[in-house]
Amino acid sequence: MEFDEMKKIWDEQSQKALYALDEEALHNRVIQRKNKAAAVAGRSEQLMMGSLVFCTLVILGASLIKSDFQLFPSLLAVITMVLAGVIYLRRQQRLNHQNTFDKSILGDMNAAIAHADFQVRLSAMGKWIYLVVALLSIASVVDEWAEWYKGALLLLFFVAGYFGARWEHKTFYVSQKQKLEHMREKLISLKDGASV
Amino acid sequence: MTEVQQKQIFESWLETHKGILFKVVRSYCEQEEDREDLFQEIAVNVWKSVSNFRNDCAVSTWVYRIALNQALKWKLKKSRDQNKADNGEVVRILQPAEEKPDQRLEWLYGQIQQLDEIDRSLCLLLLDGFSYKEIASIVGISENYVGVKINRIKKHLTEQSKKMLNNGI
Repeated sequence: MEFDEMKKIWDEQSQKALYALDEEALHNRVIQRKNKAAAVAGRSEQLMMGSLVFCTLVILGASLIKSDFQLFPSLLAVITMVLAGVIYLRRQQRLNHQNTFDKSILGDMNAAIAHADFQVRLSAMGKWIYLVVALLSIASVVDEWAEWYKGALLLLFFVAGYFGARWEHKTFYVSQKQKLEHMREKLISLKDGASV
Repeated sequence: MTEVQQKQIFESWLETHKGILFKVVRSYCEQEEDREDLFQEIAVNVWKSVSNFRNDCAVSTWVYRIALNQALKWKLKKSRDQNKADNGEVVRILQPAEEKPDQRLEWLYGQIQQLDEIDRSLCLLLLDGFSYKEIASIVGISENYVGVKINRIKKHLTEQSKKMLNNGI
């Protein structure tokens, strides 16, 4: 076969439809992503609320057992309880908001991105919660300057925790959201070319 | 440019030049799932490129340039990520058309896939009727070198086709 003949064969293919878009498979994939994003956001909320409530109960329990009221631990107990409440309210908002997306492929994709976006904001908010908890915990531990080493140890622990949380924020949550946004771009381009 | 204008242009480009995308995808990927990923990557990049198009070359040349660049980048990334396959995404979205494939075309794609990456690009552009000058501009090598390489490719393909015919395929 000469090259000219190969070219003829090559040119013939341009007249035919080469691929068809499997809409159902595409939609299923998007739904999988949406469910995964919702599950991750749900688990994070439960974990944060659980930790904060547990923290409140421990502090209050200790105060009651010792019958010793101290300012910083009590303040910390109140703040952790309030933060748990804030997270609960935001969770309700997220769950209500998820019903506002239509059931199309793009609607489900937008819902997945909304869950991931919520997760990113929750994780960013977690850093501020962490800062407040760290400061009050250190203030609670160090009663006198002679005990500065206790505060230093706790500070070291919180600094290590902070870097761990920052790594988690970027590696899992921000990158997951970016992946979903990239997938939405792909989806739009794929849908536009659906009649191939 | 508004998003609506960008969308209209993109749709018209895709409608007219979708063949380029499929040819590049098929020439650079042996697996169906890889073809789909690369197709999506190219489509996204064509979409993004709409606002950068300055009419200083034909749209087909522009689309080919993006498609080939993306295919090369994708191949590189694929070889890096070989061990990080996402097994959760085995469901295929682009399904090959049901029409019975032309065996000679299958053979031709097989041959193109065996060429090295530059030769693969040259061969695709040549088969799609681009001039040596346009090919040189897209691939980024001199026109003379394009000529030399294309002669070798033509000779190679002709020899391979003779072997195929001798084997009774």
